[in-house]
Amino acid sequence: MKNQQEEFENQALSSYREYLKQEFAQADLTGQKKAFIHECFARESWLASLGELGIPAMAFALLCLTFAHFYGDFSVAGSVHPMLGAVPQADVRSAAEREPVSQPASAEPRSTVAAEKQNKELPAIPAVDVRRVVSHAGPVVVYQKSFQDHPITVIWVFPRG
Amino acid sequence: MERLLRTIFWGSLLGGMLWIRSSGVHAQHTERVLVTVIEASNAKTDFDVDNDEYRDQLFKLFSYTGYSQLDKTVADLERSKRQLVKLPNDYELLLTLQGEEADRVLVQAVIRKGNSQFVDTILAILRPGVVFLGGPPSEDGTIIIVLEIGF
Repeated sequence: MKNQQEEFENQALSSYREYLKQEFAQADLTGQKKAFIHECFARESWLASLGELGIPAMAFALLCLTFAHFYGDFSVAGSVHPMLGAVPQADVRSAAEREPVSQPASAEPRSTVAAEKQNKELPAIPAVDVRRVVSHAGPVVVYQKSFQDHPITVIWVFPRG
Repeated sequence: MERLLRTIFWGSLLGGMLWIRSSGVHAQHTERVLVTVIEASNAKTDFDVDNDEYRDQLFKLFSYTGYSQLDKTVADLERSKRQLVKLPNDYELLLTLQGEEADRVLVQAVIRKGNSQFVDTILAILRPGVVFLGGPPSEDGTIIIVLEIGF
């Protein structure tokens, strides 16, 4: 009786060993288990992990990047502190047109004579573009002259009186 | 796939931030202007100006017999912030960086005395650029202001 019981236990143990050997030997089974775990217990998507506010925030960031790309220059041309009384860019042109540079007076220094002579010396693209010149003190002369490849711009006001 | 999407997202976000930073959206741009104040006079015959290169320029441009330097200062212009430079005879020079246009610097230069505006000009200057502003009367002659940008 005792021998039978020992024999039965040995058989059971050997069966269990065989089962474990088969279990480890089956590579497919491991893969299937992993697939099962991935399917049933997969982590939530990273998009979902962003939460309710995350996706709109991401969309907003992408929108900002798009705007930044197409409208990258955020500078406002001609914007100056209102106290300075600067005019917008469009008005700069019109102001220059409205107030052309006055002709110098006859008693002016020889500078304007030099200015007439050096008109031929002016480069095609002036180094200094005078966008606006306004004076309430008197007539204004603007001219340029090149000195050793350095064009110099002169703005001269002849005060009245 | 998920990892790729995540990499693309964070990569583009980082790249975008770097691009915005490098494009100078938030950069504080300054422009250095050298201001030299010279008094031109027919009462003197000497030339007393630090920068000797001005000698030829001044004598060719103007007809005064003497030139003396009264002041020399550096103004670091910040956008839309005006810099005040005191001039002789209660005149003031106000310089304002208005921005950039292509490769030019937009600078507003105003000379005033009290509430009276002597001259108001907006200059688009290609670096390096030199501008002579002249005409305000001084005790012995006339004030000439030399503005040098981009040197």
